[in-house]
Amino acid sequence: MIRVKNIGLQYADGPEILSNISFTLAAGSFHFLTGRCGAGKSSLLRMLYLGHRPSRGLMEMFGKDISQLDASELPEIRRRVGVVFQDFRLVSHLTVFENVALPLAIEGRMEQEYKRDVVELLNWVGLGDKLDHYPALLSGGEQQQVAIARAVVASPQLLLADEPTGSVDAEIGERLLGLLIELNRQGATLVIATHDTGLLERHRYHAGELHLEDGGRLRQLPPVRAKAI
Amino acid sequence: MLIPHSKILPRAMLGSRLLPLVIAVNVYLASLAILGGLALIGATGQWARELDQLVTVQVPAESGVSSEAVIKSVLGVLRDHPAVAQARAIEEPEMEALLAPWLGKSAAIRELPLPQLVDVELRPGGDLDSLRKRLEAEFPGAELDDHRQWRDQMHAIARSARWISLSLVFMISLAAVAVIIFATQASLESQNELVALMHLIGAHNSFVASEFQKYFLGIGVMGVLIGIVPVAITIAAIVHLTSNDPAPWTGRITLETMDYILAALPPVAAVLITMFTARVTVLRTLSVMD
Repeated sequence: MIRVKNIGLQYADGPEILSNISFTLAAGSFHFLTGRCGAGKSSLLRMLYLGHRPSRGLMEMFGKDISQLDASELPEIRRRVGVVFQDFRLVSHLTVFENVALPLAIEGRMEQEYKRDVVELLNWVGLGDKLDHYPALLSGGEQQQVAIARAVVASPQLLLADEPTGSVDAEIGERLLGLLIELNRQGATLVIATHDTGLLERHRYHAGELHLEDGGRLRQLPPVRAKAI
Repeated sequence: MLIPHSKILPRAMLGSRLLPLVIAVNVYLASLAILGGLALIGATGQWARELDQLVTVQVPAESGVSSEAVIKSVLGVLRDHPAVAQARAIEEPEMEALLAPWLGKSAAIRELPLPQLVDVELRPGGDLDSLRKRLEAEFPGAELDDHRQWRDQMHAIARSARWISLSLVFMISLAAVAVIIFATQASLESQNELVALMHLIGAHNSFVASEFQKYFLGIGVMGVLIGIVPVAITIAAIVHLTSNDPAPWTGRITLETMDYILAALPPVAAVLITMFTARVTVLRTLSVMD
Protein backbone atom coordinates (compact mmCIF):
# COMPACT_ATOMS: atom_id res chain seq x y z
CA MET A 1 0.00 0.00 0.00
CA ILE A 2 2.86 2.38 0.86
CA ARG A 3 6.22 1.96 -0.83
CA VAL A 4 9.05 4.33 -0.06
CA LYS A 5 12.42 3.98 -1.76
CA ASN A 6 15.54 6.06 -1.20
CA ILE A 7 13.65 9.20 -0.34
CA GLY A 8 15.30 12.26 1.13
CA LEU A 9 13.80 15.32 2.74
CA GLN A 10 15.20 18.77 3.13
CA TYR A 11 13.46 22.05 3.88
CA ALA A 12 14.42 24.88 1.51
CA ASP A 13 18.22 24.95 1.17
CA GLY A 14 18.85 23.38 4.59
CA PRO A 15 20.60 20.07 5.27
CA GLU A 16 18.88 16.79 4.43
CA ILE A 17 16.84 15.73 7.48
CA LEU A 18 15.97 12.29 6.16
CA SER A 19 18.35 10.39 3.87
CA ASN A 20 17.82 7.32 1.71
CA ILE A 21 14.75 6.14 3.59
CA SER A 22 13.18 2.95 2.27
CA PHE A 23 10.32 0.90 3.70
CA THR A 24 7.07 -0.75 2.78
CA LEU A 25 3.80 -0.70 4.71
CA ALA A 26 1.45 -3.53 3.87
CA ALA A 27 -2.30 -2.96 4.05
CA GLY A 28 -3.63 -3.54 7.56
CA SER A 29 -0.16 -3.63 9.16
CA PHE A 30 0.81 -1.95 12.44
CA HIS A 31 4.11 -0.11 12.98
CA PHE A 32 5.74 2.01 15.58
CA LEU A 33 7.89 4.84 14.31
CA THR A 34 10.70 5.28 16.80
CA GLY A 35 13.89 7.25 17.22
CA ARG A 36 15.48 9.83 19.38
CA CYS A 37 13.87 13.24 19.79
CA GLY A 38 14.82 15.24 16.70
CA ALA A 39 15.55 12.12 14.65
CA GLY A 40 12.89 13.13 12.13
CA LYS A 41 9.83 11.13 13.21
CA SER A 42 7.46 14.05 12.77
CA SER A 43 9.05 14.93 9.41
CA LEU A 44 8.56 11.37 8.18
CA LEU A 45 4.94 11.39 9.35
CA ARG A 46 4.48 14.77 7.67
CA MET A 47 5.62 13.19 4.42
CA LEU A 48 3.21 10.31 4.90
CA TYR A 49 0.26 12.63 5.36
CA LEU A 50 1.52 14.70 2.43
CA GLY A 51 2.19 17.81 4.47
CA HIS A 52 5.47 17.86 2.61
CA ARG A 53 6.59 15.91 -0.43
CA PRO A 54 10.00 14.19 -0.44
CA SER A 55 12.83 16.14 -2.00
CA ARG A 56 13.95 13.07 -3.88
CA GLY A 57 13.30 9.35 -4.26
CA LEU A 58 10.16 7.31 -4.89
CA MET A 59 7.12 7.48 -2.65
CA GLU A 60 4.17 5.41 -3.78
CA MET A 61 0.88 5.60 -1.91
CA PHE A 62 -2.18 3.60 -2.85
CA GLY A 63 -0.56 2.80 -6.19
CA LYS A 64 0.29 6.39 -7.10
CA ASP A 65 3.72 7.99 -7.39
CA ILE A 66 3.41 11.05 -5.19
CA SER A 67 6.15 13.01 -6.96
CA GLN A 68 4.21 12.74 -10.23
CA LEU A 69 0.94 14.03 -8.80
CA ASP A 70 -0.35 17.51 -9.44
CA ALA A 71 -1.17 19.60 -6.36
CA SER A 72 -4.87 19.32 -7.20
CA GLU A 73 -4.64 15.49 -6.99
CA LEU A 74 -3.19 15.43 -3.46
CA PRO A 75 -6.51 15.98 -1.60
CA GLU A 76 -7.85 12.66 -2.91
CA ILE A 77 -4.82 10.85 -1.42
CA ARG A 78 -5.00 12.83 1.81
CA ARG A 79 -8.61 11.75 2.30
CA ARG A 80 -7.37 8.16 2.54
CA VAL A 81 -5.03 9.10 5.38
CA GLY A 82 -6.21 9.86 8.91
CA VAL A 83 -3.86 11.82 11.15
CA VAL A 84 -3.77 12.24 14.91
CA PHE A 85 -1.53 15.25 15.40
CA GLN A 86 0.68 15.55 18.44
CA ASP A 87 -0.85 18.94 19.23
CA PHE A 88 -4.38 17.67 18.36
CA ARG A 89 -5.05 20.62 16.02
CA LEU A 90 -8.68 20.85 17.03
CA VAL A 91 -10.55 23.87 15.75
CA SER A 92 -11.33 25.99 18.77
CA HIS A 93 -14.51 27.62 17.41
CA LEU A 94 -16.05 24.31 16.36
CA THR A 95 -17.84 21.94 18.73
CA VAL A 96 -16.69 18.38 19.36
CA PHE A 97 -19.28 17.16 16.83
CA GLU A 98 -18.21 19.72 14.22
CA ASN A 99 -14.51 18.96 14.72
CA VAL A 100 -15.06 15.25 14.21
CA ALA A 101 -17.36 15.81 11.23
CA LEU A 102 -14.86 18.14 9.53
CA PRO A 103 -13.39 15.52 7.13
CA LEU A 104 -16.91 14.51 6.07
CA ALA A 105 -17.95 18.12 5.53
CA ILE A 106 -14.80 18.59 3.43
CA GLU A 107 -15.78 15.56 1.36
CA GLY A 108 -18.96 17.49 0.59
CA ARG A 109 -21.34 15.27 2.53
CA MET A 110 -24.47 16.73 4.07
CA GLU A 111 -24.87 16.80 7.85
CA GLN A 112 -28.04 14.71 7.82
CA GLU A 113 -26.08 11.97 6.00
CA TYR A 114 -23.34 11.66 8.58
CA LYS A 115 -24.88 12.91 11.80
CA ARG A 116 -25.79 9.45 13.09
CA ASP A 117 -22.36 7.98 12.26
CA VAL A 118 -20.50 10.81 13.97
CA VAL A 119 -22.64 10.57 17.10
CA GLU A 120 -22.10 6.80 17.15
CA LEU A 121 -18.34 7.24 16.79
CA LEU A 122 -18.24 9.81 19.59
CA ASN A 123 -20.23 7.45 21.78
CA TRP A 124 -17.68 4.74 20.98
CA VAL A 125 -14.73 6.93 22.04
CA GLY A 126 -16.65 7.93 25.16
CA LEU A 127 -17.59 11.51 24.30
CA GLY A 128 -21.25 10.98 23.44
CA ASP A 129 -22.31 13.40 26.15
CA LYS A 130 -20.00 16.21 24.95
CA LEU A 131 -21.09 16.70 21.36
CA ASP A 132 -21.75 20.40 21.81
CA HIS A 133 -18.70 21.16 23.93
CA TYR A 134 -15.88 23.29 22.59
CA PRO A 135 -12.32 21.91 22.76
CA ALA A 136 -11.27 24.44 25.40
CA LEU A 137 -13.70 22.81 27.83
CA LEU A 138 -12.22 19.33 27.37
CA SER A 139 -9.33 17.68 29.21
CA GLY A 140 -6.15 16.73 27.33
CA GLY A 141 -7.27 13.09 27.07
CA GLU A 142 -10.69 14.09 25.78
CA GLN A 143 -9.13 16.39 23.19
CA GLN A 144 -6.95 13.50 22.08
CA GLN A 145 -10.04 11.31 21.78
CA VAL A 146 -11.69 13.94 19.60
CA ALA A 147 -8.54 14.07 17.46
CA ILE A 148 -8.62 10.28 17.07
CA ALA A 149 -12.33 10.32 16.22
CA ARG A 150 -11.69 12.99 13.58
CA ALA A 151 -8.82 10.96 12.13
CA VAL A 152 -10.91 7.83 11.71
CA VAL A 153 -14.37 9.21 10.90
CA ALA A 154 -13.86 8.98 7.15
CA SER A 155 -12.58 5.38 7.40
CA PRO A 156 -9.01 6.07 6.23
CA GLN A 157 -6.82 3.29 4.86
CA LEU A 158 -3.74 4.69 6.57
CA LEU A 159 -3.87 5.99 10.13
CA LEU A 160 -0.94 8.05 11.43
CA ALA A 161 -0.60 9.10 15.07
CA ASP A 162 2.15 11.37 16.34
CA GLU A 163 2.86 10.69 20.03
CA PRO A 164 -0.81 9.94 20.74
CA THR A 165 -0.14 9.13 24.38
CA GLY A 166 2.49 11.80 24.97
CA SER A 167 0.28 14.33 26.71
CA VAL A 168 -2.04 12.09 28.71
CA ASP A 169 -1.58 9.91 31.78
CA ALA A 170 -0.81 6.20 31.43
CA GLU A 171 -4.38 4.97 31.91
CA ILE A 172 -5.88 7.27 29.30
CA GLY A 173 -2.87 6.59 27.06
CA GLU A 174 -3.62 2.86 27.09
CA ARG A 175 -7.27 3.51 26.38
CA LEU A 176 -6.39 5.76 23.39
CA LEU A 177 -3.93 3.21 22.11
CA GLY A 178 -6.62 0.57 22.45
CA LEU A 179 -8.85 2.66 20.19
CA LEU A 180 -6.14 2.92 17.55
CA ILE A 181 -5.36 -0.83 17.70
CA GLU A 182 -9.06 -1.61 17.36
CA LEU A 183 -9.16 0.50 14.19
CA ASN A 184 -6.09 -1.38 12.93
CA ARG A 185 -7.92 -4.65 13.53
CA GLN A 186 -10.74 -3.29 11.40
CA GLY A 187 -8.32 -2.97 8.48
CA ALA A 188 -6.56 0.40 8.71
CA THR A 189 -2.77 0.46 8.39
CA LEU A 190 -1.46 2.04 11.57
CA VAL A 191 1.74 3.99 12.15
CA ILE A 192 2.33 5.41 15.62
CA ALA A 193 5.28 7.72 16.21
CA THR A 194 6.45 7.41 19.80
CA HIS A 195 9.47 7.69 22.01
CA ASP A 196 7.71 5.68 24.75
CA THR A 197 9.81 2.50 24.97
CA GLY A 198 7.34 0.96 27.42
CA LEU A 199 4.58 1.24 24.89
CA LEU A 200 6.78 -0.35 22.25
CA GLU A 201 7.66 -3.19 24.57
CA ARG A 202 4.04 -3.96 25.37
CA HIS A 203 2.99 -4.21 21.73
CA ARG A 204 6.12 -5.54 20.02
CA TYR A 205 4.56 -8.90 19.28
CA HIS A 206 2.05 -7.53 16.84
CA ALA A 207 3.66 -4.25 15.71
CA GLY A 208 6.62 -3.74 13.42
CA GLU A 209 9.07 -0.94 13.94
CA LEU A 210 10.37 1.83 11.76
CA HIS A 211 13.41 3.07 13.63
CA LEU A 212 14.99 6.34 12.63
CA GLU A 213 18.67 6.43 13.40
CA ASP A 214 20.97 9.38 13.83
CA GLY A 215 21.84 10.86 10.47
CA GLY A 216 18.28 10.51 9.22
CA ARG A 217 18.48 6.87 8.12
CA LEU A 218 15.77 4.31 8.81
CA ARG A 219 15.75 0.67 9.79
CA GLN A 220 12.56 -1.39 9.34
CA LEU A 221 12.01 -4.22 11.82
CA PRO A 222 9.20 -6.79 11.70
CA PRO A 223 7.08 -7.64 14.76
CA VAL A 224 8.97 -9.69 17.34
CA ARG A 225 7.99 -13.35 17.09
CA ALA A 226 6.60 -14.77 20.32
CA LYS A 227 8.91 -17.40 21.82
CA ALA A 228 7.56 -20.94 21.74
CA ILE A 229 7.09 -22.27 25.23
CA MET B 1 -31.38 32.74 8.60
CA LEU B 2 -31.12 35.98 6.62
CA ILE B 3 -27.33 36.30 6.76
CA PRO B 4 -25.51 33.27 5.33
CA HIS B 5 -22.30 32.05 6.91
CA SER B 6 -19.62 29.38 6.66
CA LYS B 7 -20.01 26.46 9.05
CA ILE B 8 -16.25 25.98 9.31
CA LEU B 9 -14.77 29.47 9.51
CA PRO B 10 -15.23 31.60 12.63
CA ARG B 11 -18.12 34.06 12.78
CA ALA B 12 -15.73 37.02 12.70
CA MET B 13 -12.25 37.11 11.25
CA LEU B 14 -9.44 39.60 11.60
CA GLY B 15 -9.40 42.16 8.82
CA SER B 16 -13.07 41.89 7.94
CA ARG B 17 -14.87 43.16 11.04
CA LEU B 18 -15.44 46.66 9.66
CA LEU B 19 -16.01 45.50 6.09
CA PRO B 20 -19.85 45.61 6.37
CA LEU B 21 -19.61 49.33 7.13
CA VAL B 22 -17.29 49.93 4.17
CA ILE B 23 -19.68 48.02 1.90
CA ALA B 24 -22.64 49.96 3.32
CA VAL B 25 -20.95 53.29 2.50
CA ASN B 26 -20.07 52.05 -1.00
CA VAL B 27 -23.63 50.87 -1.59
CA TYR B 28 -24.98 54.24 -0.51
CA LEU B 29 -22.52 56.22 -2.64
CA ALA B 30 -23.09 54.04 -5.71
CA SER B 31 -26.88 54.26 -5.34
CA LEU B 32 -26.60 58.02 -4.90
CA ALA B 33 -24.40 58.32 -8.00
CA ILE B 34 -26.92 56.34 -10.04
CA LEU B 35 -29.93 58.22 -8.67
CA GLY B 36 -28.24 61.60 -9.18
CA GLY B 37 -27.24 60.70 -12.72
CA LEU B 38 -30.69 59.39 -13.59
CA ALA B 39 -32.41 62.44 -12.08
CA LEU B 40 -30.18 64.79 -14.09
CA ILE B 41 -30.63 62.77 -17.27
CA GLY B 42 -34.40 62.76 -16.70
CA ALA B 43 -34.57 66.49 -16.03
CA THR B 44 -32.42 67.48 -19.01
CA GLY B 45 -34.32 65.06 -21.21
CA GLN B 46 -37.59 66.67 -20.17
CA TRP B 47 -36.19 70.14 -20.85
CA ALA B 48 -34.90 69.05 -24.26
CA ARG B 49 -38.28 67.52 -25.15
CA GLU B 50 -40.05 70.73 -24.14
CA LEU B 51 -37.63 72.81 -26.18
CA ASP B 52 -38.18 70.54 -29.18
CA GLN B 53 -41.82 71.68 -29.27
CA LEU B 54 -41.17 75.39 -28.63
CA VAL B 55 -39.85 78.11 -30.92
CA THR B 56 -39.78 81.87 -30.50
CA VAL B 57 -40.40 84.35 -33.25
CA GLN B 58 -38.64 87.70 -32.93
CA VAL B 59 -40.08 90.59 -34.87
CA PRO B 60 -37.76 93.63 -34.92
CA ALA B 61 -39.22 96.98 -33.97
CA GLU B 62 -39.59 99.34 -36.90
CA SER B 63 -40.01 103.09 -36.56
CA GLY B 64 -43.28 104.43 -37.83
CA VAL B 65 -44.96 101.02 -37.91
CA SER B 66 -47.51 99.96 -35.31
CA SER B 67 -46.05 96.99 -33.54
CA GLU B 68 -49.52 95.80 -32.56
CA ALA B 69 -50.58 95.57 -36.18
CA VAL B 70 -47.43 93.66 -37.13
CA ILE B 71 -47.82 91.20 -34.27
CA LYS B 72 -51.43 90.66 -35.20
CA SER B 73 -50.39 89.80 -38.76
CA VAL B 74 -47.60 87.51 -37.50
CA LEU B 75 -50.01 85.72 -35.21
CA GLY B 76 -52.43 85.33 -38.10
CA VAL B 77 -49.77 83.74 -40.30
CA LEU B 78 -48.57 81.49 -37.51
CA ARG B 79 -52.02 80.26 -36.50
CA ASP B 80 -52.83 79.45 -40.13
CA HIS B 81 -49.71 77.35 -40.57
CA PRO B 82 -50.20 73.55 -40.15
CA ALA B 83 -46.99 73.14 -38.07
CA VAL B 84 -48.27 75.44 -35.33
CA ALA B 85 -50.37 74.17 -32.45
CA GLN B 86 -50.69 77.56 -30.80
CA ALA B 87 -49.01 80.96 -30.83
CA ARG B 88 -49.02 83.67 -28.19
CA ALA B 89 -47.52 87.14 -28.22
CA ILE B 90 -45.50 88.04 -25.19
CA GLU B 91 -47.16 91.07 -23.61
CA GLU B 92 -45.28 94.17 -22.50
CA PRO B 93 -45.43 93.48 -18.70
CA GLU B 94 -44.18 89.93 -19.30
CA MET B 95 -41.32 91.30 -21.44
CA GLU B 96 -40.42 93.79 -18.72
CA ALA B 97 -40.36 91.01 -16.18
CA LEU B 98 -38.04 89.02 -18.41
CA LEU B 99 -35.64 91.93 -18.76
CA ALA B 100 -35.86 93.08 -15.15
CA PRO B 101 -32.94 90.92 -13.94
CA TRP B 102 -30.64 92.69 -16.42
CA LEU B 103 -32.11 96.15 -16.89
CA GLY B 104 -34.06 96.71 -13.68
CA LYS B 105 -37.62 97.99 -13.44
CA SER B 106 -37.06 101.32 -15.11
CA ALA B 107 -39.83 102.94 -17.14
CA ALA B 108 -37.16 103.71 -19.73
CA ILE B 109 -37.32 100.11 -20.87
CA ARG B 110 -40.50 100.98 -22.76
CA GLU B 111 -38.55 103.52 -24.78
CA LEU B 112 -36.07 100.92 -26.02
CA PRO B 113 -36.52 99.52 -29.55
CA LEU B 114 -37.09 95.98 -28.29
CA PRO B 115 -38.21 93.27 -30.69
CA GLN B 116 -41.66 91.75 -30.26
CA LEU B 117 -41.63 88.11 -29.22
CA VAL B 118 -44.12 85.38 -30.03
CA ASP B 119 -44.06 82.02 -28.29
CA VAL B 120 -44.98 79.24 -30.65
CA GLU B 121 -45.84 75.68 -29.71
CA LEU B 122 -45.37 73.28 -32.59
CA ARG B 123 -47.46 70.27 -33.45
CA PRO B 124 -45.49 67.03 -33.09
CA GLY B 125 -43.59 66.51 -36.35
CA GLY B 126 -44.47 70.01 -37.57
CA ASP B 127 -42.40 71.25 -40.54
CA LEU B 128 -40.20 73.96 -39.00
CA ASP B 129 -38.39 74.78 -42.27
CA SER B 130 -41.63 75.55 -44.05
CA LEU B 131 -42.69 77.81 -41.17
CA ARG B 132 -39.34 79.62 -41.24
CA LYS B 133 -39.56 80.22 -45.00
CA ARG B 134 -43.10 81.51 -44.71
CA LEU B 135 -42.16 83.97 -41.98
CA GLU B 136 -39.09 85.21 -43.84
CA ALA B 137 -41.18 85.74 -46.94
CA GLU B 138 -43.98 87.58 -45.18
CA PHE B 139 -41.99 89.49 -42.55
CA PRO B 140 -38.46 90.30 -43.67
CA GLY B 141 -36.21 90.64 -40.62
CA ALA B 142 -38.31 88.31 -38.46
CA GLU B 143 -36.27 85.52 -36.88
CA LEU B 144 -37.36 82.10 -35.75
CA ASP B 145 -35.32 80.82 -32.81
CA ASP B 146 -35.60 77.04 -32.36
CA HIS B 147 -33.45 77.07 -29.17
CA ARG B 148 -31.00 74.64 -30.81
CA GLN B 149 -28.13 75.95 -28.68
CA TRP B 150 -30.04 75.29 -25.45
CA ARG B 151 -31.22 71.94 -26.65
CA ASP B 152 -27.69 70.84 -27.59
CA GLN B 153 -26.48 71.97 -24.19
CA MET B 154 -29.18 69.90 -22.50
CA HIS B 155 -28.16 66.82 -24.46
CA ALA B 156 -24.50 67.46 -23.61
CA ILE B 157 -25.38 67.75 -19.91
CA ALA B 158 -27.34 64.49 -20.10
CA ARG B 159 -24.43 62.71 -21.77
CA SER B 160 -21.98 64.08 -19.20
CA ALA B 161 -24.28 63.07 -16.35
CA ARG B 162 -24.43 59.52 -17.71
CA TRP B 163 -20.65 59.26 -17.97
CA ILE B 164 -19.98 60.92 -14.61
CA SER B 165 -22.49 58.61 -12.97
CA LEU B 166 -20.97 55.50 -14.58
CA SER B 167 -17.44 56.66 -13.71
CA LEU B 168 -18.43 57.22 -10.10
CA VAL B 169 -20.01 53.77 -9.85
CA PHE B 170 -16.92 52.25 -11.47
CA MET B 171 -14.54 54.05 -9.08
CA ILE B 172 -16.66 53.11 -6.05
CA SER B 173 -16.71 49.47 -7.20
CA LEU B 174 -12.95 49.54 -7.74
CA ALA B 175 -12.40 50.89 -4.23
CA ALA B 176 -14.71 48.22 -2.83
CA VAL B 177 -12.85 45.45 -4.67
CA ALA B 178 -9.51 46.73 -3.32
CA VAL B 179 -10.81 46.77 0.26
CA ILE B 180 -12.36 43.30 -0.09
CA ILE B 181 -9.10 41.87 -1.47
CA PHE B 182 -7.22 43.33 1.48
CA ALA B 183 -9.81 42.01 3.97
CA THR B 184 -9.82 38.56 2.38
CA GLN B 185 -6.05 38.30 2.47
CA ALA B 186 -6.00 39.40 6.11
CA SER B 187 -8.73 36.90 7.00
CA LEU B 188 -6.96 34.12 5.13
CA GLU B 189 -3.73 34.97 6.94
CA SER B 190 -5.52 34.94 10.30
CA GLN B 191 -6.85 31.44 9.57
CA ASN B 192 -3.69 29.93 8.11
CA GLU B 193 -3.65 27.10 10.65
CA LEU B 194 -7.25 26.17 9.95
CA VAL B 195 -6.66 26.38 6.20
CA ALA B 196 -3.58 24.16 6.54
CA LEU B 197 -5.62 21.66 8.58
CA MET B 198 -8.38 21.66 5.97
CA HIS B 199 -5.79 20.92 3.29
CA LEU B 200 -4.25 18.10 5.33
CA ILE B 201 -7.68 16.57 5.87
CA GLY B 202 -8.23 16.56 2.11
CA ALA B 203 -9.80 19.88 1.18
CA HIS B 204 -9.33 21.18 -2.35
CA ASN B 205 -8.52 24.87 -2.79
CA SER B 206 -11.99 25.29 -4.26
CA PHE B 207 -13.55 24.01 -1.00
CA VAL B 208 -11.53 26.49 1.07
CA ALA B 209 -12.46 29.26 -1.37
CA SER B 210 -16.14 28.28 -1.09
CA GLU B 211 -16.01 28.61 2.70
CA PHE B 212 -14.46 32.08 2.43
CA GLN B 213 -16.98 32.91 -0.28
CA LYS B 214 -19.83 31.98 2.10
CA TYR B 215 -18.28 34.03 4.88
CA PHE B 216 -17.87 37.09 2.68
CA LEU B 217 -21.35 36.58 1.24
CA GLY B 218 -22.56 37.05 4.81
CA ILE B 219 -20.41 40.17 5.15
CA GLY B 220 -21.79 41.50 1.86
CA VAL B 221 -25.41 40.89 2.88
CA MET B 222 -24.78 42.57 6.23
CA GLY B 223 -23.17 45.59 4.50
CA VAL B 224 -26.06 45.87 2.07
CA LEU B 225 -28.64 45.65 4.86
CA ILE B 226 -26.90 48.56 6.60
CA GLY B 227 -26.37 50.49 3.35
CA ILE B 228 -29.92 50.32 2.01
CA VAL B 229 -31.25 52.20 5.04
CA PRO B 230 -29.72 55.56 4.02
CA VAL B 231 -30.51 54.75 0.36
CA ALA B 232 -34.18 54.28 1.27
CA ILE B 233 -34.18 57.49 3.31
CA THR B 234 -32.63 59.40 0.40
CA ILE B 235 -35.15 58.00 -2.09
CA ALA B 236 -37.99 58.91 0.29
CA ALA B 237 -36.59 62.44 0.55
CA ILE B 238 -36.38 62.74 -3.26
CA VAL B 239 -39.95 61.46 -3.66
CA HIS B 240 -41.11 63.95 -1.03
CA LEU B 241 -39.28 66.86 -2.68
CA THR B 242 -40.43 66.07 -6.20
CA SER B 243 -44.06 65.59 -5.22
CA ASN B 244 -44.48 68.55 -2.85
CA ASP B 245 -41.96 71.21 -3.80
CA PRO B 246 -43.03 73.36 -6.73
CA ALA B 247 -39.54 74.83 -7.18
CA PRO B 248 -38.52 74.74 -10.84
CA TRP B 249 -35.44 72.56 -10.28
CA THR B 250 -36.83 69.93 -7.94
CA GLY B 251 -40.13 69.96 -9.84
CA ARG B 252 -38.31 68.67 -12.86
CA ILE B 253 -36.58 65.81 -11.03
CA THR B 254 -38.71 62.80 -11.79
CA LEU B 255 -37.67 59.21 -11.19
CA GLU B 256 -39.45 56.39 -12.98
CA THR B 257 -39.94 52.83 -11.71
CA MET B 258 -36.99 51.70 -13.88
CA ASP B 259 -34.80 54.33 -12.19
CA TYR B 260 -35.57 52.86 -8.78
CA ILE B 261 -34.80 49.38 -10.12
CA LEU B 262 -31.44 50.68 -11.40
CA ALA B 263 -30.78 52.29 -8.02
CA ALA B 264 -31.31 48.85 -6.46
CA LEU B 265 -28.47 47.43 -8.56
CA PRO B 266 -25.61 48.56 -6.26
CA PRO B 267 -26.85 46.46 -3.29
CA VAL B 268 -27.15 43.37 -5.49
CA ALA B 269 -23.82 44.11 -7.18
CA ALA B 270 -22.16 44.70 -3.80
CA VAL B 271 -23.11 41.21 -2.60
CA LEU B 272 -21.91 39.60 -5.83
CA ILE B 273 -18.68 41.64 -5.95
CA THR B 274 -17.90 40.82 -2.30
CA MET B 275 -18.53 37.12 -2.80
CA PHE B 276 -16.61 36.66 -6.04
CA THR B 277 -13.72 38.96 -5.09
CA ALA B 278 -13.21 36.90 -1.93
CA ARG B 279 -13.38 33.62 -3.87
CA VAL B 280 -10.92 34.74 -6.55
CA THR B 281 -8.55 36.21 -3.94
CA VAL B 282 -8.49 32.97 -1.94
CA LEU B 283 -8.01 30.81 -5.03
CA ARG B 284 -5.17 33.03 -6.29
CA THR B 285 -3.47 33.16 -2.90
CA LEU B 286 -3.71 29.39 -2.38
CA SER B 287 -2.52 28.60 -5.89
CA VAL B 288 0.63 30.64 -5.21
CA MET B 289 1.16 28.66 -1.99
CA ASP B 290 0.78 25.23 -3.68
